[in-house]
Amino acid sequence: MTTDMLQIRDLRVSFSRYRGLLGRERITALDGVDLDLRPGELVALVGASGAGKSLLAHAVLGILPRNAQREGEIHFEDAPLCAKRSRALRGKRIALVPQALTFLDPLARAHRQVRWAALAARRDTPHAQAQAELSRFALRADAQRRFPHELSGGMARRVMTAIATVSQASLLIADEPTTGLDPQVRKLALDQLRALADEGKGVIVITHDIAAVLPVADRIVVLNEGRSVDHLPAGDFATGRIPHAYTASLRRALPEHGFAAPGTPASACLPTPTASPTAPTAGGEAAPCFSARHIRWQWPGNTQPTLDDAAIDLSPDRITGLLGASGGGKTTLARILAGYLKTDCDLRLDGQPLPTRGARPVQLIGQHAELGLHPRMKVGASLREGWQPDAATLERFGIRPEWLGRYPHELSGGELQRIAIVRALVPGLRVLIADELTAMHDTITQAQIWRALRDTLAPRGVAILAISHDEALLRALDARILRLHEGRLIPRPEPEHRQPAPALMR
Amino acid sequence: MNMHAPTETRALAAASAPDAPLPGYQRLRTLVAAALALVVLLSIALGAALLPDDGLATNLSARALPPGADHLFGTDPLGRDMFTRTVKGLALSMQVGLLSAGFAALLALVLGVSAALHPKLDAVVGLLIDLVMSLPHLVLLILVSFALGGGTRGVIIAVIVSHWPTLARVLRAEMRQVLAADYVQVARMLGRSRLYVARRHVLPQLLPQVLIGALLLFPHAILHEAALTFLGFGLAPHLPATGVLLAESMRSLAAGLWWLGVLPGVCLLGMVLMFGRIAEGLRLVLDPRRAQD
Repeated sequence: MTTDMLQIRDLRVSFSRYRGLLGRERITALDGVDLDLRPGELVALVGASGAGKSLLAHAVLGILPRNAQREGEIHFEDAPLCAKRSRALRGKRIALVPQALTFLDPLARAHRQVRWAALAARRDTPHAQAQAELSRFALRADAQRRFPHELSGGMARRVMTAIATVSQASLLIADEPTTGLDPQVRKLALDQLRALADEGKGVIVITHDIAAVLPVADRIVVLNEGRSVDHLPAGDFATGRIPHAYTASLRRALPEHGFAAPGTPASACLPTPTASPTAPTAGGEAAPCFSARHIRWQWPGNTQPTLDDAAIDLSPDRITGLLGASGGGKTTLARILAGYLKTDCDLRLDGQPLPTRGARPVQLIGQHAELGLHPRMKVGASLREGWQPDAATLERFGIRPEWLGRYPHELSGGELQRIAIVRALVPGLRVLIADELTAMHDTITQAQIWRALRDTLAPRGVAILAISHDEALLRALDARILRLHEGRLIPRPEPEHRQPAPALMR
Repeated sequence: MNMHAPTETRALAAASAPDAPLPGYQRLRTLVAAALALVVLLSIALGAALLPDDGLATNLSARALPPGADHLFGTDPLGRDMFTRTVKGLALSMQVGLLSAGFAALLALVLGVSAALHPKLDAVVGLLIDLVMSLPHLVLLILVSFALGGGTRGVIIAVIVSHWPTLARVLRAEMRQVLAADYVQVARMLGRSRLYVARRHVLPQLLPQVLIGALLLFPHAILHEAALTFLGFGLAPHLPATGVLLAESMRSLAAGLWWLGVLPGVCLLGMVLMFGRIAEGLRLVLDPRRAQD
């Protein structure tokens, strides 16, 4: 019986906030979390966005905000982990893969940042170590030399993982290491983490993507509303032997299990939506309302064009899904279609050129919600930049009224994403481009958001382009799937028995 | 104060995590510091206005007295009351500081923002910034002040001319960063006007920078005024300016009249540090990530 490397007992974290000018109130964020980790083990920490998963990681690292207060015990290798010891050990014995891209230094090239980490961990040959580490995560030499803003979402994620792993720390906490990665690279990244565990290190993977981590995880710890509600072996989750109700509903809401809403029996399919006004005639697709032709894009310094005469049509009767490799230009395409990047391509809505003033009919929900919200503006004010949503809409998308009075850094990634979604649903909306819309969310919330989007947008005849790495999700949405490959969009074959109505968006 | 956590739980937390950061009182500390500074500034201004001018007159029967009950800061070799001179000197310094810091911040705002808005203006402003910053501050100060014939006006203009570039550079960078930010693009796509973006996105990011920049310029301006006057290029020697006091005190230092230099000097230093403290506190209070400290 090996002893635990990390022991967390009844961890509580609360924040103090001003109320009025000088009064204070306390907000509890973590309310009793237990977690054990043995060397050689990979534990997956799952739960809804805002359940406090990242906060747990920050508590172990000792990087909680100054207004946070920590209670309870954290033991690391048989000694209590106080703030001072965290400070001494982090980057050397304990390493973190942070969730937000804002943790990268915007002024330094990727390989330099990895080298700094190697230096801080006192590795012998920092330069060589850094390059080897980046290559292990399939980042080519030209990507290694880029600045953070030149990296794709998935590449930046791998750079941050390399920064953490290059230190050879014995405890590694990876916060959402797979967001924005295509299946191949995602498997590679997770296999690297598994290999670290097999070398005798302890690994905690914080994720919403339960399906992806199941094959590599030993155990799963489920967090709900600041409490650790369930600890179970990964095998039990996969086979469905789950005693706890919340954990079971997480499993049922996986796309491959039919996206069931909480409370519905596992066998139940999604409710059939009311007939949409633009229902397709039998055997034929409705005419596209949005079309884009001759989309070309080449980043300065690249030899290959990212987009090479690509063309796309979007119609309101069916979601269009976009798959593609990490760094392949999916986000670039989205930004061109939404008018964020100006090119001389031909964008038409109902045969007319797009308007250039007023609320645009084509709206983009970006991959990184935290970048789309003004840091000094309360999220309620940001939300009202789009329109004035009623309470029912907010509730449908799982937004609590009290969030509106907070600043972006006080909400979780998934919570910010939901704010960004509702903000984009302006009255004149015709086309919604959703870049990795639900990658920040647990399965239950993911299903809830897509259901809410369908209920809101289907009657209004809004076309949706969903960019994702999750083919299972796009299938469950009954999307017409395109794949971005070498700058062009190639349709994926339809599944053999495509049912016209069962899936989420029909 | 409405504290939600009872004392027991806080004691418990302190026991289990001995160096867990306790909630600070950043707002309270900044408010107190600002209030204190305001009181000091007001009393200097009031004192300068209310103190009788006869303290400035020479009184050869009370020459070079050390600090005491009659003369709080002692007297100089001509029998002038040093307390009256210090207060009047600080009041004069304050005027110079306020005017030059305010106008320098205004100039920096106009030039920095216009540079961020247009590439051609950017080239011109960039050149001006490089030009001013390539000269040592003091040399430029002396040149400008000398060219304008010294005096209060010369000092103020010299400080303005030499001090706008640092803040202008900060504002230009901040402005460009805000304009390129995702949230500004999103707001434009949601149909918000340029005016809205300026008011709701640019202003809240620039205002703290301008405020804090101006606050930090203020002690700089005072120190430079004192330095210029000390060197003889600033205010006229008959004015009770801090720089004049310090320059005069040098002559009597060897005679053991330490209070002539030390007391006004310490007052000047205290005022400068106080402004630095307020600027730092204001920065924390206005930063949403630190606002809850």
